[in-house]
Amino acid sequence: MGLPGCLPVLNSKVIEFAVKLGLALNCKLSLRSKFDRKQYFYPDLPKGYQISQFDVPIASHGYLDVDLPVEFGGGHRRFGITRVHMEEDAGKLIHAASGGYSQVDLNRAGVPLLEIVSEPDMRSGLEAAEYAAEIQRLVRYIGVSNGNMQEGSLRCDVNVSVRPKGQAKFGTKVEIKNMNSFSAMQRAIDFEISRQISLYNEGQENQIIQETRLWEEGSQRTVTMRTKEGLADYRYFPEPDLPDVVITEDYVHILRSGLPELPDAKRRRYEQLGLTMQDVLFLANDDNVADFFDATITNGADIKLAANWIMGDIAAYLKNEKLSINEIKLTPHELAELIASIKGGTISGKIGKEILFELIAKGGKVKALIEEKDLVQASAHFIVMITQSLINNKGVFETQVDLPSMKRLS
Amino acid sequence: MPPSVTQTPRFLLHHHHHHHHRHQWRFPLSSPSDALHSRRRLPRRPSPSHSWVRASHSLPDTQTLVSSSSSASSSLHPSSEILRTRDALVSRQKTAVEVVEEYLDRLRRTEPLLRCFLHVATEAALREAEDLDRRIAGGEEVGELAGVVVAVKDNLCTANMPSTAGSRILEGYRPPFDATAVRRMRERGAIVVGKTNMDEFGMGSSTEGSAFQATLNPWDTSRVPGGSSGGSAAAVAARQCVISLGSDTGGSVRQPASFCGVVGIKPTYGRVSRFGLMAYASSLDVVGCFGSSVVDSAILLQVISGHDKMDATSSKHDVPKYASELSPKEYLESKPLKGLRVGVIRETLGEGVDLSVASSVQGAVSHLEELGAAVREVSVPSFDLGLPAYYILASSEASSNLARYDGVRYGNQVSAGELSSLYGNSRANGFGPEVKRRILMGTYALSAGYFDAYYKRAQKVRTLVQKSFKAALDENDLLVSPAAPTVAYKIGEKANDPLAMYAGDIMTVNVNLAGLPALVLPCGLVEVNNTSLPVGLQMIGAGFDEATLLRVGHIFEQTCQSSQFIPPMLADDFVS
Repeated sequence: MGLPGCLPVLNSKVIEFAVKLGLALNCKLSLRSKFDRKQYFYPDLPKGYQISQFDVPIASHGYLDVDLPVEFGGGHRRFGITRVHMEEDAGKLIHAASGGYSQVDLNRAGVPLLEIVSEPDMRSGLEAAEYAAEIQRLVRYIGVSNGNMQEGSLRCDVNVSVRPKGQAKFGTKVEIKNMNSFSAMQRAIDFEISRQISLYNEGQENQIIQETRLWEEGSQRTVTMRTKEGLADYRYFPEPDLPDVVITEDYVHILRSGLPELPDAKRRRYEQLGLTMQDVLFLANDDNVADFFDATITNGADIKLAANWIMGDIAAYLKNEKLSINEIKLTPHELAELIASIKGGTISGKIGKEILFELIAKGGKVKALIEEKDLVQASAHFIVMITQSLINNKGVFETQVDLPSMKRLS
Repeated sequence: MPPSVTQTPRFLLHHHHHHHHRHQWRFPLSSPSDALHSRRRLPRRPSPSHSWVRASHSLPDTQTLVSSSSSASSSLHPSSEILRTRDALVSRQKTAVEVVEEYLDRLRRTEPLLRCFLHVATEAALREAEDLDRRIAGGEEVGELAGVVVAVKDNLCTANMPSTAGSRILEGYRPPFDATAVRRMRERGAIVVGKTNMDEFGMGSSTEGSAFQATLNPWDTSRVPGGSSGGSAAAVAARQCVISLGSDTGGSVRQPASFCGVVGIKPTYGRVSRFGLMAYASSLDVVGCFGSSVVDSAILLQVISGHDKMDATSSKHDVPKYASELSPKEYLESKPLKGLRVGVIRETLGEGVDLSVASSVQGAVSHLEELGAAVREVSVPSFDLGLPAYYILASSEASSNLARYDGVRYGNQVSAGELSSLYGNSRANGFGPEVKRRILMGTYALSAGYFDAYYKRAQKVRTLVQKSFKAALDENDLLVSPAAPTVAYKIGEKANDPLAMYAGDIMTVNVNLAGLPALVLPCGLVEVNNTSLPVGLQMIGAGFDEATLLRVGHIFEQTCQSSQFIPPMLADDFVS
């Protein structure tokens, strides 16, 4: 609220998260960093300044390794990370539909954020979308955020510029806001790229000005939001109300050793298991799926079969029922059991599928279900056989079959 | 006023080479066993061989007031209004309601003239007094400020009581919480009688900068009380309250203390929580205390000091029992300040200081020598640079701290059809000229291209000032200077000359830049046209060494000829 007399207090969790994120992004950490005030007037900024980190961010000079989807040509990319810094959130503006007024929601003002700034290394909307998806994956993996664009726990702003092939100097950059999903971001960027290229081709590149444009989902284009007359002067100066942030090597070491296997490391490991890139991306991209897969193969399941079951029938079920893999009753142990049973010939693949759906929906044990189902299948089979042989062998009437549980036909 | 002082100060100019490193000054050592105890913080038990005694064991612990503790307290400290009040309440000589009504009565009589208060909370004060009487009657324990009438500067938040910082932009604003310093006083039983007048947002040195009214100096009502905590200082001087809270960013407690003849403490930066103090310059602001005696100021300081998790700049340094370490006059040795090294700041007694002020301060210094202190002159080389550095840093931080006053969420709003007009009109209408001046100066100093030349440069000067003080305090236990270059000047005399007003801060701003503690206490009276005007002596200590300042200040006060500084207008109320 920025009430008179109020003071900011540092939240220790955000430092822990900043260090974890910096480590996961392969950054150099600043053992001593500070906060600065970024000053401007706006209704969603109650103090008239935002507490941020200007010249000494907590992490910088890192990179992120991304695998592009197979269906778009695949390939590895390494995108540079310029910096990760801590800052506080502003409030939220809600504009009345009638346009007559706007409201300010200050609930999130003052909540700490981590801002990740990338190097201008992406070359298409797809690359940017994959970068964003990887960031989302990463923050979920290390537990610093839900990374949800719809809920606002992950927000993306992009800057786009083009330059003639061979020119070293970057062109004028244009900021784009108001993209609510990764696919919207991809489309917005691709639109903006072609808009700028068209202007170049018409000899009107001077019409590309440094400005902020809004992505219009309806018309699928970017439009001018406001023209910036030069850069804003934020009058940065060190935040006097907060002491310097000092972290020790020991602290960093403890956090580093507590990090889980990161998505890229997982992908490399799956590649080495002999899976195709398509399989790798599917399995590694969701850490719940990856955990399930890892648990299944730890239980001895055949790698390829496990992958197929998860990517095939199980995934289809999840999609239909709108569930996530940790919400189904099937356990990795039982999946491994199922795979082993099929592989060992105890049951057929078709029966395996039936059992699978039972296991997913109701849980239970493979062995028990085999007993139930297998018998029913087998007994029906034998009745047909016997009837057939009776029909085919008139006069001969011997029961050659000895099945303890079978009723004698008379 | 003619500034030149032709006479060189009469001080011991040769150095007593004591120690290479700074050591905590202790009371005179009389026996070998004392040397063993010299580094102990806690007081020793009195032993028969000493004529002088550290009194803390005979003083009741100031933490709780128990009915059985007798009048020992106030008789040991006759100068303490707080202890006198406590004794009266505990011995049932007076009720809290009677005590409060006495102050309210005097307030009512003197306020129409002096105008120290922006808000008087009569009903609430009486209710609290009644409540206190009930608790005393019921045998409950009550805090060490029980029944003590206090005033609070209007830039300190007081829950549900108007808090304007002397500005129209906050006219009518009632905070939903108490400042930590206020809360701590209330927890010990203090009764907040009202909010005092001040220069708007702390920017000014005469209280003429208040958007609402001018406060007059009780010693001479044609003169200013000083600023920016003018109301708090004058209220104590006029005995409208026992003690009061102020704030000091560039001298705003110390200079009014000097002009009004009361004791003022500026604590070390971080000693007292700033939570609830409406920020002017975050790295310079401190909450300070006023009292009519050193003991009372010490008790108040002890109550409000200490770490606060709501203020990330507040210190975890222990809070000593300041008041317990003040010994009664009767127990002092003949040379109670023996071993104390005092440095008189050369740059503060030359050109630019009124002769009369310099002479009063010199008199005070002589007195310190008579008490046994080793006095010499010291130089603080970067002294003159402090003033411009202060004004750049303070204005820069102020331009940022005052950005939140836009009329949108609280305070006065001037409505407009468009956002920047809303901001512009509300602020233009709500802020006074001095505030606007400093916001503009600060914005300029921080703007692109100027940051290095102004703000960054001023920070470098600040480092130099800190180093100079540290060097001087390595060789001395405390430093002394006047608190202001003049006595209280006439209303209107400097109001239209900002630079002249700024120049008056020369004695005080360096202490804020260095974050050090300082005590101001009245050391003399100056006759100007048949009026007596007080002069304050400023004593500056090392970081978190308020204890030394208070001990020395107390001894000085108790051994001074004119120990009671009562403004003539109250002479009838107080018969010595």
